[in-house]
Amino acid sequence: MSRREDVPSDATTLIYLAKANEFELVPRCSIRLIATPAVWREAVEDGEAAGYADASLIRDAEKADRVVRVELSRSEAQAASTIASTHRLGQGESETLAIAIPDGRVLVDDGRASRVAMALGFRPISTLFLPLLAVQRRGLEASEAKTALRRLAQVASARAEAVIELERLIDEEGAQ
Amino acid sequence: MKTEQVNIRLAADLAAALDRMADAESLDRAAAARRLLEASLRRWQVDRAVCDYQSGAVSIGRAAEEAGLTQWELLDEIRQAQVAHPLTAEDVRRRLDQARDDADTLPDIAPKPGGVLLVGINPAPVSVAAAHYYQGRLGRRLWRRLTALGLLDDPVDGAEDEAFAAAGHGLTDLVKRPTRSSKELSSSELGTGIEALRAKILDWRPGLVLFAFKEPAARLLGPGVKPGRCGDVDGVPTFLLSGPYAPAAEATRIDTELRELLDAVDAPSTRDRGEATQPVTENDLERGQIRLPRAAKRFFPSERGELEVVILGRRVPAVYDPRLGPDRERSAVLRLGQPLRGAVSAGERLTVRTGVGGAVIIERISE
Repeated sequence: MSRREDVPSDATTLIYLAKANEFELVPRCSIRLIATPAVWREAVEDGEAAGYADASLIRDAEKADRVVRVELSRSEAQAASTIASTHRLGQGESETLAIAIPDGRVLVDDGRASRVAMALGFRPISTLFLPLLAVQRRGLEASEAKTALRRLAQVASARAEAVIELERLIDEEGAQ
Repeated sequence: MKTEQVNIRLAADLAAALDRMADAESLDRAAAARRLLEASLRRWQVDRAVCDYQSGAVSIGRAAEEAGLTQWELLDEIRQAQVAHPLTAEDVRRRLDQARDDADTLPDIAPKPGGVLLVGINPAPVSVAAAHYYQGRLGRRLWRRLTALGLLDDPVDGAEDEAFAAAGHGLTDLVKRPTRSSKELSSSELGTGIEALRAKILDWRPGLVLFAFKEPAARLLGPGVKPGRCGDVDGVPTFLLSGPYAPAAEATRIDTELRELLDAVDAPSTRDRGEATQPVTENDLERGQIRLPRAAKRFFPSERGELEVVILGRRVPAVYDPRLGPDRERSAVLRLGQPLRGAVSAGERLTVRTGVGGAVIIERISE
């Protein structure tokens, strides 16, 4: 069995994957999504309380070991608080960056959170990159990846130009 | 509820409209005005959240918090407002370009003394873009072959070089400049590369130099070199793999020969695959600690102190106590605190090993 890379994930990623019913992408990318307490609350508990049925798919993903919940250490909680107040990020986004490893990947879709992640020395990737990553790691064929990308693009209201560019890269990668 | 009186003057037609609404809803005028005001303020908050998010003034998480919405609700609002996801085609290209700029070639990975040094011709652009060795079609086939030979364990797809390095082996190329084809390399580049390769072999003292392709072997050992055991370089044995298009029977023969040679040179991967921890107990989880048997102590300093470890992929601070004791030696204790809770279950055993660069790595046995 291949080892998997643990990637801290923001709530938006979990919500997009749930809405698109695309949690299967996670093992295809040889990764696991790490969810902090605030991310879990925002993506699952708040979603369920507001009547979003898809939120239960995140619970299913946790049971399938595609999402792993973690607690924060005291220093991580302090770091999250500092990030939130300094950079005007939400709690989940701040906690996600607080547990990220230097130069490590972190899944965030928000533009501001991505810029902060880069400034802090992390490698932010959008959920929309997951199909490409799955092809790079030979978890999906290019055609399957493009189908997954289109589903994600629909729920995330992705720009057509970004989707076209990602599709082109998926095709290039698939031809390697 | 504390209230405050607000007197406002309304245009006659607005007041008439308010009365019509109050009649329709069976409310008095004040109750109707309150209801409309509450709804309008709520709408304004939501619109403001969408606007702040769109302008980049706040993140989506912060916008939802300030508007009192869940992220699910705010995402719906953003969708209804036809605000697109922030990722542009330019962002996609920039991030890939950035990955290429960060690593316009692949850095050498020195083997541990006695390990295997795998030598290629030069990195392929696809590998450089992926920041990992041998990610082209032929390269991927090479990793499958080396895995079958036992030179790496449990590789992550697309990052096999990490498992190779973790097993104590190293990677380099004759020339570090990436090109689509090795035919694009100049003769002088290749000549310089040979000198550099010889210096690396002298410096690193690998147990075996393994040539992935014929070109570097031929330049170092002469054009008559053939797949299999080749001559020594400064006392270090060398071996040329059969080519990617060699007949299956020849590839099998060469791989068998290599396997026998690897046993003879006692490569690090066959010597040290790490040590298991003691089974994690409920008490350990409560204390946020892992206990380590004597055999695992070799991965840690000899004295009590603070250090960083990488546990289940996360780099965390820890306190290590070898518990050598004045009378009897006990299991060492590694205190990690919170990061252990929720990540490890009672009864589970982990493995400890040293990663590239000397970091202590703790991972699941099944990984």
